[in-house]
Amino acid sequence: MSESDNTAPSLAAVVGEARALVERRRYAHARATISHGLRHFPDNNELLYLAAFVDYASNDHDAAMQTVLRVLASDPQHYGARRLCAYLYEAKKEYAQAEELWIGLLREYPEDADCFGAYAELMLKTLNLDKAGRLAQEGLRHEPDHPVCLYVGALIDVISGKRGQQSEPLLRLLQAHPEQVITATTLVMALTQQGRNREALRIAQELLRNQPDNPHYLALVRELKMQTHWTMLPLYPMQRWGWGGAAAVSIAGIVGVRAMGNVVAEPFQSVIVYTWLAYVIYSWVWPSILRRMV
Amino acid sequence: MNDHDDLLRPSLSGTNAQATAIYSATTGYVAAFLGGPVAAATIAMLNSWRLRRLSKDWPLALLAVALLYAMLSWEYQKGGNEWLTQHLGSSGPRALRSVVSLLFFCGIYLLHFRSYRSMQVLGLKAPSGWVPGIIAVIVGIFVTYAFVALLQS
Repeated sequence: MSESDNTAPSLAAVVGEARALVERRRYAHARATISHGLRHFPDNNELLYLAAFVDYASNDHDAAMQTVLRVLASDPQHYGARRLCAYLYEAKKEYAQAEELWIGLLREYPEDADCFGAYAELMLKTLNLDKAGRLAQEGLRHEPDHPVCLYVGALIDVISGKRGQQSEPLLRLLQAHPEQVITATTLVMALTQQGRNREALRIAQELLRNQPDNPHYLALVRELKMQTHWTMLPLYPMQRWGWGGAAAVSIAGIVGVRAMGNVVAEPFQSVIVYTWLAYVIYSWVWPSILRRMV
Repeated sequence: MNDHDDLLRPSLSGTNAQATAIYSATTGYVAAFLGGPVAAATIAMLNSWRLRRLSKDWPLALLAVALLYAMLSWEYQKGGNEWLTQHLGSSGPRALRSVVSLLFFCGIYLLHFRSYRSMQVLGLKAPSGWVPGIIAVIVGIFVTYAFVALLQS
């Protein structure tokens, strides 16, 4: 459909075409189709909603909010516009307003797993972990393989320190949606938290290959490349067990150096002390330097 | 009220509406290492306040003070200093304090484990820990010297 085409199209055809383009993420083409439709049906809520969605997907949040509020002014019950409005509030970090919308939607659609998943994600983002978990569970009760609910459940398990095999949502996410980006992202997080950085790096590299412009994946690959660099091998206990490992190494070092001091004679005693000091300095300084170099 | 209604009760309003990042584990670790258990507890209390769970976590501050006092009391009044010097060398007492402080930090880390882990997984940035870290170390050292002076008087 060209921009200069001024013959009145069928509304249903334009909406159908625009929706199909949006679903295929062909946003530039969808924008042209929607603009053409809006010239003939300027107050049509479906077209306005799709226009707002395209703006949201193209990161023009102000324009999206303006349009979505226009839709809601004429049709306050519009399901898609309310959902989009909630996401836009979340993008602006106006979480309380977003929550109000999700609660309103769930009161009207009490079995909608999409809304449970989205509200659970908001609770996760604001660190209300218990409520996020309960919302995800409720969503899964209505739709057992819902990807967002499984994603939230899996992340909560990762945060709680459960290993991959012990996390039922993670296993189900891998079985039911192995092809989805959300699954790969969750898996990278789970592997990273278990200290399995090489496996995590391979998946993150695959994600980056599919979306080379994604700054989050780029940062993730850089961090994992740094963590898997051979010069990080001496810091394995810290990488594998985090701060618990760091504290254990420090305590072992302090006790070991003191105990050796009584057993070993000079100059070996000094060698042990300076080696230990060098290791401590290395563990603090080298990761920061390497992060800048990778 | 059933579980569904409870789930649909708003949780975000005013200051609750944003995710709260706490001071990093590095801040707590360094404070514990340099300033002892009281410094570690100072950072932990600041984190508890940020997480709005100070009313639950405050006994930890008392525990830190009691632990430090017990340790110094053993060192200065029960012959602990001599025993440590004999077995671990002249810097034995300092080594013991470092070990106890790091173990205390491990306890704090476990207490706030989910918050530390959430920040890591969700990519939340910790606030700068320099100022609170320095203050905590100063408080920790001051309390240690105050107890030493009290026990030696």
